[in-house]
Amino acid sequence: MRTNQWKKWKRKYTGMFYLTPWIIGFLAFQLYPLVMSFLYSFTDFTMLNDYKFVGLQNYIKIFTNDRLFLKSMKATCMYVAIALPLKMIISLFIAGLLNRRLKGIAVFKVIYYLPSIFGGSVAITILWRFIFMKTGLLNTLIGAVFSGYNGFDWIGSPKTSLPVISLLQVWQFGSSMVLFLAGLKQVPDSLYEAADIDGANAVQKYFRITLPMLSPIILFNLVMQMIQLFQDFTAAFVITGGGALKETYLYGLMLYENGFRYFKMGYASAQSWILFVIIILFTFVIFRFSDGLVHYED
Amino acid sequence: MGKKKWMAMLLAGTVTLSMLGGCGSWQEQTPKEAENTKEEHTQEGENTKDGGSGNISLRFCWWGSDTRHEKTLEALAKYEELTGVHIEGEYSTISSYYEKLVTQLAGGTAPDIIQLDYPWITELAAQGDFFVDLEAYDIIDFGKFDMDYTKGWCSEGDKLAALPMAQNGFTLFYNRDVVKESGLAVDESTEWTWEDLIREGEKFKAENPDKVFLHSDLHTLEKNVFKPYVLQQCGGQWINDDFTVNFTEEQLANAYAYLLELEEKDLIQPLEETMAYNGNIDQNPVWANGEAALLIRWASDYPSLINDNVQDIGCCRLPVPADAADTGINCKPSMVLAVNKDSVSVEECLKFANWMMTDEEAIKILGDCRGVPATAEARTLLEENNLLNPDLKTGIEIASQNAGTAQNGYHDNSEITSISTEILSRVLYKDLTPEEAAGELMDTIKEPLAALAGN
Repeated sequence: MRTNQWKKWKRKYTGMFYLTPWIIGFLAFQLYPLVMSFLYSFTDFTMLNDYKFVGLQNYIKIFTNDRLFLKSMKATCMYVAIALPLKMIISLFIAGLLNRRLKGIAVFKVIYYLPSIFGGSVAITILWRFIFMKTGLLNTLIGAVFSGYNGFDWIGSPKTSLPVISLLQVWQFGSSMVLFLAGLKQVPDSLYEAADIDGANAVQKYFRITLPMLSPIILFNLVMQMIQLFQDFTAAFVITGGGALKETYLYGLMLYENGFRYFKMGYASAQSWILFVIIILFTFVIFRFSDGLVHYED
Repeated sequence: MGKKKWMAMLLAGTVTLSMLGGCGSWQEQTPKEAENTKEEHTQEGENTKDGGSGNISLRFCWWGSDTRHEKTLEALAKYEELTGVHIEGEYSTISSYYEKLVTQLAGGTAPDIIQLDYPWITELAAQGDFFVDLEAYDIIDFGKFDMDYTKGWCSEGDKLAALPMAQNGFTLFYNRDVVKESGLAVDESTEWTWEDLIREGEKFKAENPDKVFLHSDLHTLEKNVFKPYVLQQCGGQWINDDFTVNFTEEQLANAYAYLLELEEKDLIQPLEETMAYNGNIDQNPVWANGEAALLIRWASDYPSLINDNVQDIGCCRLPVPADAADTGINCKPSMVLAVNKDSVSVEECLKFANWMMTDEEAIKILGDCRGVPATAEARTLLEENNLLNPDLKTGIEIASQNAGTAQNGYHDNSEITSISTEILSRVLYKDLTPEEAAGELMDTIKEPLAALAGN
């Protein structure tokens, strides 16, 4: 009897036991900071000393008296608008190219995934500088094609600095590509065979079969990449420091400066919750418009 | 199936062990060794005191160049050899050093001995009490320090929060080789005005169009040209102790106009070019390649400016107008040394600080890696042993002899400096006229000044 009860208990709670490390991590490193940041957003918390409750003062100041808030919001939205579609298109395209049974294709999969591992390291900063500075690789290539070209400061120019750092994110398309690749492998061959019988060409097959079947993965990637891009900080911090003319002053960088440089952690917490609401809104809009566009087999 | 199960367990075990590998190291000892020796905890962030043997492990953080890191680590090794006290060095560049320190102080994980910039004493004192009052302990040999200088720069109220490590001052460096080739009339006795700088620069650029006259970036222009230019007009503090300012909009506009003139006459690199280095002027190869004539920096930066291509650098006075209200030459300790109030052994930290600053052997090991030492005895010792670069010494002497008003801790307030730098960038990008920029700066700093006053 006791053995049976033990077996029942074991069957019931073994799963929970294996989940415990994740639950502890979630509570300690995600839920607790989330709740505390919400509470701090209503205080003048500086990290270093006691704080007092200030009500909605931080939120009011953000919308009425922060000269950099709108600039940063605009820069971040532009950053997402440039990087997100490019990243999605390129990763889908490359995934399509890699979805073949060729000898050595695994090597190319690794090569295309490698940039995602590099992240925003100092080495990448130097690489980006060497490519985009006035005497950099890009200008050298352009100069080789167009004689008389004097070079252009892609990083230092306010018009081009944001696209330049956006390209860093686009270059790191590996994680999206892997998901698309997995999705492409799930598309049943029978659909393509049926399309062949009906006389569909490659373009028709791509738009009528591949994309609809991939649409759940496209939606997932779209939402996850959008969330990540809205929160991005590294590219702006290491490459431009928020310049030129604050054109690359991403929201994450603004949060960092307010929280860690100016001792305004309460204010930075309020800004982070505003970003949270904005991301939720965009996610809601995407899901709302996805109803007619995403195809689920079941 | 059995083989797969074993393989799975092996892989799971490997992953688990690799996670545990990040938890630090321990020494396996025989029972006899364990009885006779003491365990050493070497994990970064963990201070321990073994009451049995007196072995202590402390942490010391500083910023600097490779030269400073090497010499300081050598000094730490020597100290351990002499006293048995292990001091773990935590070093980096200045970039994000302060932000990291603030986070460590907030989390209670800051090192025991901390190198600071003097304005941080004021900024951090407004947030809490983090540093030991050095005069409360009878360990530091204060007789070797100029106490007026020490207390003037390192006190917060009645508390002596730190010790000055070395002297510093704004200096106009010149690359002697470039100067010789170009015929630029500059030497140690040069005392230019800002107009002289432009006149000489125009002559230099006419003969050397491919070279840079004044090597700079946005941050050095704001700190080393803009602020002195304004202070030379208004005199006094950048930010007064009562959180008011001495400068007027007109004085700010004059300074912005001057910097714009430097850019328009191609005497400095365009901002678009230097933005690529994101505030790390040392990564801009122009100076290191011997392509620039002049540079305005702290005198203590001298050792980091020498390399294979640039061997011979001279120093002279920062440009000052003939009718200046103040020379605007900021002279201050290059860095100060403080002890964390929450250190596991404040006494040992103070003993180390005293050794580092006053012991002959320590002084010889460290040399001039932090600039000209703050104590007269150390300066004499280095000179006698040819360990003090004569050009560095000259730079400090010139700056000290022409020192402007000693600036308080609000001079380099992070938020106000960030605002000032941003507005200057808008002038140089021609997004604002000098007059518009002056008005914007006056308006924008009201709020952070009010916040400082509130603290």
